[in-house]
Amino acid sequence: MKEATRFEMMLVSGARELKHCRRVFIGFHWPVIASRVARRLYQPDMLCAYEGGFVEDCLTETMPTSNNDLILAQKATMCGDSLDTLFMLLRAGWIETSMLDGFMVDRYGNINSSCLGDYKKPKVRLAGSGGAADLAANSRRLIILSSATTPDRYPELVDYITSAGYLTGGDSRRLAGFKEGTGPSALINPFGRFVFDGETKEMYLEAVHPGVSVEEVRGSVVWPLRAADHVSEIEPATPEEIGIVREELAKARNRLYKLPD
Amino acid sequence: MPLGSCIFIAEQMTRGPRGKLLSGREAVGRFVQDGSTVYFGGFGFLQAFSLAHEVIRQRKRELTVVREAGDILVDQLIGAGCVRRLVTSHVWNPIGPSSAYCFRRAVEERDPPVEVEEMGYGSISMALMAGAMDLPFMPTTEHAGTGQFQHRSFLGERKFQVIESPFSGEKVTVVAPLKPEVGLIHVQRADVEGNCQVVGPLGNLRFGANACRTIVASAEEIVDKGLIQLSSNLTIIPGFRVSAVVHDSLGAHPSESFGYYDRDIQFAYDYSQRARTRDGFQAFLDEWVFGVNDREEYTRRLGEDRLKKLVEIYRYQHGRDWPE
Repeated sequence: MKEATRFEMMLVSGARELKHCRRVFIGFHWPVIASRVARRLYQPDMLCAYEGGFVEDCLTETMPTSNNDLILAQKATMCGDSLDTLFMLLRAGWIETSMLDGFMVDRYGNINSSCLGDYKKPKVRLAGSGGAADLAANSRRLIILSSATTPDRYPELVDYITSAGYLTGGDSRRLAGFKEGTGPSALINPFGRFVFDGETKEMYLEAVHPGVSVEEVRGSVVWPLRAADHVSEIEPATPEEIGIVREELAKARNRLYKLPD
Repeated sequence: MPLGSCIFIAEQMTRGPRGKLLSGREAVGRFVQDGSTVYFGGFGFLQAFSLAHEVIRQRKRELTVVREAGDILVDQLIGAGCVRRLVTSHVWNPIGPSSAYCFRRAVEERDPPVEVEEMGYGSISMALMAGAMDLPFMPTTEHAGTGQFQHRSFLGERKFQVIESPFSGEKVTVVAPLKPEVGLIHVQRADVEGNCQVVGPLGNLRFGANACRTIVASAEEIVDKGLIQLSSNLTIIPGFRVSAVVHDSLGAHPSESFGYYDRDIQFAYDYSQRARTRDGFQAFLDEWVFGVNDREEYTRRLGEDRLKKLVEIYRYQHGRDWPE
């Protein structure tokens, strides 16, 4: 079997983040696929909550086109209001881990999914928040998944903060009034895994995917990226992991997902 | 219109076997005026597409649209020139995902110019909840430091504020109530008195609809009141609050209606391909909005083969197997 591409490796690492998680909140896009891989490999009865207001605990045969595709609710165990899942379950602290797509992520884990360039006169207008701002504000352990690999997607500070990370670093998130214990825990991208400094809240490289060099990762972000004293190499994907990721990607393609080449 | 007279009109209309049943054309013509603040129901699923298309056909103008999540429904209203102001949390096509191209042209090229006020989804939901309950504000997700907090359009100060909790002294982000004048929503079933029922996830439909002064509901099915009484926990709006009921089966297409039909992902995908250009978008409108008189004609145009695929998973239609 051909070894995993870096994009596939991102999904494998994303799924591994959900190992041993019993209750998760799944945001739009790649987290939907990563959660399916996690269920098939490690955690079949993992409970997933969604911003549409429902909760379910088993894999569907059909790949949902988004976290709001009600294919996902076919075997839901609870269908309610969006406020039930976003506030009564997530904010109240009953969800262990949330996973969110990061279109553009900065030094302090702030996400921009609203615009490229000036907000009032953008070069490209993107979708906006949806529930992403709520996930970023209210999650206890937030994992950001991003398929981006170029410096234009990792600026020093995003033009527009759609979903709050650690704002300008240090104490700023707490001082702005965000709940204690919330904020991003890690970013997984095709290069590897990044975490946040306990004091400065700056994102730094903790581990790389097989075959990725620290220098290459440094070249993919705009700011001078710090790396852990010892950057570890993440375990390569097993044939089983690669097989399942490819099966899920094939399903995604059939459901008109745009996938990287 | 004062609250009392709305209810009076709504109650007057209940009399007679047809109750509040109107055609989509009559209902939109009567309750949506140029310049109205209109809430469109549905979050990804159960979107009020048939009523939105009626708004486009009647060339309503200068609307302030309130919608938790824009999707291609808002994209079409913008492209058709109906919208002056928009309150939303995002606008795109979740299939792919793909851009909402009319929205992009409106923001990037001001063609046509639309004023956009953005909040997170949870906060718009809280704002509508406050509107529905007539509360002065609701605590919500923290937004300080984010673009939604810093950039204020037409809501200005009447959007987010950070106050001190009178109980703990902590900072609390609060959102002002939203009270749209008219709500256009789609539900799975209703009776002629306007009792509206939804099965499956609600998104924020319960609070969104109840925040509106006047409510027009389209429904997959019109059912006997007796059936409503047997499953009254599924009712999201008591009938007296609803001014008109429209029978539009497949009214949410191309979004899904839980238990009735799946989302039509090919249709949504094709829409974005066409909406990339102004001409392509216009051709879409000519075919699917101006080219049909109502949802029944739209459904015939979709064709049986397409519909069969979409309803493979449905369970509840025609009152069968509804939870009681």
